[in-house]
Amino acid sequence: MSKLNRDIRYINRDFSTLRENLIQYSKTYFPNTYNDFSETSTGMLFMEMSAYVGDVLSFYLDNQIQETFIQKARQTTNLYSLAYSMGYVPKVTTVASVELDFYQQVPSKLSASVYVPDYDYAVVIPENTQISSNVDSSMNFIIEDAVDFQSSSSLDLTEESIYQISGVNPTYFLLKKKRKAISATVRSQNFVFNASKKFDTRDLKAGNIIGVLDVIDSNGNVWYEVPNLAQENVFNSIRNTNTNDPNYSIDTEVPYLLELKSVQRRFVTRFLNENTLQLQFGAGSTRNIDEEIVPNPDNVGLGLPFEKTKLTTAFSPLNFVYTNTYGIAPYNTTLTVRYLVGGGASANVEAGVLTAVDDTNIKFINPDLSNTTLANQIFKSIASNNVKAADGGMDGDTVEEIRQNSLGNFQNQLRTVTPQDYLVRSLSMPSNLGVVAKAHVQPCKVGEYEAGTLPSVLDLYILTYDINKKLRTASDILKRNLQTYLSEYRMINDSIKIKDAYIINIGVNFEIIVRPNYNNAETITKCINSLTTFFEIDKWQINEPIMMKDISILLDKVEGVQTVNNIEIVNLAGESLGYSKFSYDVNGSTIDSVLYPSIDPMVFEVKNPTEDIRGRVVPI
Amino acid sequence: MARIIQNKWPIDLQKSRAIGFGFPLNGDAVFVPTYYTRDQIKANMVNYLLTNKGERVFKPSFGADLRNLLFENMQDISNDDLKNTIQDDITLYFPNVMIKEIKFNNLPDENTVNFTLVYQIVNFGVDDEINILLQ
Repeated sequence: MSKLNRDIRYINRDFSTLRENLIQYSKTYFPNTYNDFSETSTGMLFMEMSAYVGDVLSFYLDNQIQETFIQKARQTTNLYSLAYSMGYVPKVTTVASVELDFYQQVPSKLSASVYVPDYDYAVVIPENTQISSNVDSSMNFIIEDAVDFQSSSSLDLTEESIYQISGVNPTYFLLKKKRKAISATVRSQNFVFNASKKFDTRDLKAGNIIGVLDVIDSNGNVWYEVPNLAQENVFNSIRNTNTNDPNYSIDTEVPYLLELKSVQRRFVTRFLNENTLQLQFGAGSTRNIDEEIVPNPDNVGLGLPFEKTKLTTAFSPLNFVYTNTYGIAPYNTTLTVRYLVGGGASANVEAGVLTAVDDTNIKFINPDLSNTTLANQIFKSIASNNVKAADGGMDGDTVEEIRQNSLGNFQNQLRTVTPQDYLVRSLSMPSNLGVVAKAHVQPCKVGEYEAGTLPSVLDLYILTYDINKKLRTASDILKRNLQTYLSEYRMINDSIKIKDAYIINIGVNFEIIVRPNYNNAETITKCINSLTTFFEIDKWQINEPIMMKDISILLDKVEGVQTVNNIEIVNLAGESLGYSKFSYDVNGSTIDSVLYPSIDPMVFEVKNPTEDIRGRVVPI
Repeated sequence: MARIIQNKWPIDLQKSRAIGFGFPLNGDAVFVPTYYTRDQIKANMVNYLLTNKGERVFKPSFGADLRNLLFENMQDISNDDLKNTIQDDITLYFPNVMIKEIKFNNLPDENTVNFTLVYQIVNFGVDDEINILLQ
């Protein structure tokens, strides 16, 4: 049979071009079969219908291609799927946030002849406690972190003030803590599971769903949300107490310990549309509790149809065998899903309205209080208030926001690769695990290789804050938490040694000439204030040099300053004086009006600005 | 032997060259080819008269819209009305066709509109007719 060699134009896509080319095709290849191309003819009816179908198919083809790319997709369901595939979780609502002040009274007690707060009466307001508006009771906020009045650190300070005195002695102290709260209401829904089913799903249907708070089955087992079902480990933070770890309960700056926990019971969530959040569970069963599958020649590729062609088969380390590594599937149980709803513009409540604290789950840290009357009185003293209005509440992601956020999120990949990744990841460690104030990553120096040990690839230098927000070296427990935290993100061939950066305390002496008619003392104070702001420790990074020119320009801009006569940086060292034990050759390190840091990572700190910054007015 | 040759368009001078296809669609290959212009015009007229406006894709004004006649009062349907109704459209789509007469044979008890359209292919003086039955 001879092969037909006919001219088919694949670029025809719309009705008119398809119609014209069908006519041309008929004229070319069927000149004796059909010749009536008037629009009244039945043959043209069929041709036009074919062109119509072709146009529709072209449209859907275009549409399908368009919906494949996140830059062009328009349908919400497709956008959501594409966003998830790029690692971004779309928001269907945006919560309002506000800083809440929590208060409680505690009685005083005598300690070393001084009246101090009796922290036996301190309470813990657990996370997810609800605070309602006194204007609209349906407007609820929750706190994401527990308020532990007993725990005080530089980042989570418990402010003490005398609340009541008897004679000259305080009888009650008022404790105050701040917590971030978000506009959310906790709701729950039960899902019944009978027979085990692989990758079973359940849909939560509600408006303005923020996310799943927790999932607990009828046996009390906690189900953990993971980014994907192949992920087995989740972070778990536990209180830093003797019971949990006797070796590490020495650092009040680190109230919680971070541990990795391997979980069988896990699930993923994804928004199907704005009002439906789907929960998907694993494929395994509880009969096999060992989920830790170690790849070996016997199980890689097990159960797969291409087992015999392993030589050319690509395997993912997350999916090399069809077993229950995706978590177990719930069966014969009921899952109670607590989830959060809320957000929107209406959640931006005014200041001073969030005062109704739900005290259902608030407890005393010391459960054995003998004076129950006093305990009840203290319990009733718990209060809250928002000094500022809540803000940030708005609708969920728009189509364009989903696109842009997804593309941005795709760059992150939850991996630490560059020094900047390590820097940001270290600084982003949750504050209850300790505060990394400064971080700096650099390759390990050859000169620092220790004999008999494998050299690390990277050195991560860190510093933390003390209770007065002054730099200090990090404790071992904070480093351990950071090590655990980074282990989930670091690349396998990166070995990191966490070290202390050096703190170099400095002072600034300057001389200025004041303009006529300006008060000398007032001008000096303004200069000191400007320098204090300039040297705020939040603004300085490890290994950042000091440009003397910047200081000169800064002072020159201060109102009343005519001329900056002289600026001198001096090193302040000595633990007995309250400074760092490390001294620094400032003069030797200053080249062309730039004070350079040392080769070893260090940060300059003006520890006591009121004392360490000194100014002098000199005559012209 | 001499024989009478029917008036043809130039297109139908070749005997084996089909112009289009006619009705009904019951040929061996579904379509029954037409070899004469007269037959093709008749087929096209049938196609036009039995099409309602809006049926043809991208040509919403195409069609005689005769089915609406079924919903008119039978007594009100007159020769002139129908002729006037379709003459303008016929002129637009069939510039060579002139309607000469419409003969009604309606059956009100059977809800049937039955008429015969007599027309002439103007330039060639060929008369023909189509019987339309709507029910």
